[in-house]
Amino acid sequence: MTSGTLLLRQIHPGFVQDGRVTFQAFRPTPKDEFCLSVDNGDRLAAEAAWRRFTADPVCASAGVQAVSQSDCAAQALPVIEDGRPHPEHCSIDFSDFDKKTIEKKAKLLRAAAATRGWLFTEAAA
Amino acid sequence: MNQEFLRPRLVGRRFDEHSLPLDILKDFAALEEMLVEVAKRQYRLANPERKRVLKGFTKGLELHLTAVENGSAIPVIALVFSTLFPSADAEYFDQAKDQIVEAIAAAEHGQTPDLPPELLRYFDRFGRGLREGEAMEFVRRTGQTASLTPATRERLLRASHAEQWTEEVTLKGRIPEVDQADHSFELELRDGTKLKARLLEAHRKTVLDAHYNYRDGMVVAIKGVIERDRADRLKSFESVEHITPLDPLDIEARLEELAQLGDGWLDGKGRAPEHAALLRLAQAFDEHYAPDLQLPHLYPTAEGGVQAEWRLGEWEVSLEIALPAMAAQYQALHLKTGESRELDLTLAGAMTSRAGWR
Repeated sequence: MTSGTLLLRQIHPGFVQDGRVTFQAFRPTPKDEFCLSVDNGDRLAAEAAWRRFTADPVCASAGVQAVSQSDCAAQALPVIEDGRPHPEHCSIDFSDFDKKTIEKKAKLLRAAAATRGWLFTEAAA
Repeated sequence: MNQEFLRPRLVGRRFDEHSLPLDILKDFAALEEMLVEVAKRQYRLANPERKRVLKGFTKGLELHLTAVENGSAIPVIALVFSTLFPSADAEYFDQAKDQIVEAIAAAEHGQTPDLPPELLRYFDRFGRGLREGEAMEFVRRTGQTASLTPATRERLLRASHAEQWTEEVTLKGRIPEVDQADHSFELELRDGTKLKARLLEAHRKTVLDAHYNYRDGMVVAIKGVIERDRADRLKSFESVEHITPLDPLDIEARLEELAQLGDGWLDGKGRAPEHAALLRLAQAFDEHYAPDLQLPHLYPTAEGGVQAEWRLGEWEVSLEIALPAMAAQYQALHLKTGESRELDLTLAGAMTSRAGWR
């Protein structure tokens, strides 16, 4: 992984309104044990990541956005190449921070992702 | 000459200013028609030898609204005669009034109303203008009150054996289809139900515009009269009064959308927001959110709450609202400087205040 590696994030349809994505899409939920799931964009294309994710009928995704490894580094967020549950899987680790700080970091990640726009959308599938 | 005939008390927020919305006068026009028909029935019951009522039975008799008194609003309705003295037929109108009030009281108490089904069907129009939380209260001969509410009205209509009846509604949806040759269009509700409506010239531009933008998710609100059957299914629009294009960030429409979420909505996790709490939140926004403020984007939270977000220049602003407690956390972050402002708020308290959210 390099500083330019894109980390692919699936965006739930409920987290999109009128084309705008909430910063919640870039923070772990309380049940995620402070780790945000992403895929390594060097090893997996956005469309392939979306297709694998949505193959599970429980999971829904309006599309894929991405932050870079350097975006995370700028927020002092380690990126862990954990390879689970699939080889390309990574986790952005928020465990060193409290809720309010996590929200600020998520807002900055959202802004970085928004400048890149959608890498893949459900409509293109 | 005229004599005071009826003083129903109208209860509900719309009547708090001790005035009557013109809309509700349609209900009283329907009541007048009903009174005439019930009075004719009373006449026939009292005069079984006659096969029909006397010619000119209702001639010279009319109901007039003569005043609106306080409390919340009490329209004073008089029986007006074109003659110098009250018509002898006026007593049948008094009996008709009592019959109608007793039918309402029976329905209110879960009993079978005494009026025949064909007369009960007048409640399709009389009482249709009442909204949830509103009532028309009538004084019975015993001095007790009989209250006509949307729920009482539905019981009366079910007792009328009507296969379907009408309701005044405002429904939101998209317009997938317009048939200009047939002068009709369809409104598609969020659950996929499609309702046909007549296309009036006055609404043509708005309807065609909404149809053109269907794929972009353009939503309109239609105020009109809808037909509903005994199984509670919406059938089609009987008439359309207004069609209003909604802002893509319309708060009420978005909260209605969030109300569709079920538990597990977030990839198997995620608690559904409580419907009653969303209704209260929509009402709070409606009453307190200053209209000159930029509308927020609204999103569900995994914990069953709602998060409002605004982008104001370089400031990323959020308000996470926990439901049903209405406790909120405000956070504003300047994306360039990292400066932040935070505040814990209780919206439940603000809801009871008359001051807007600023």
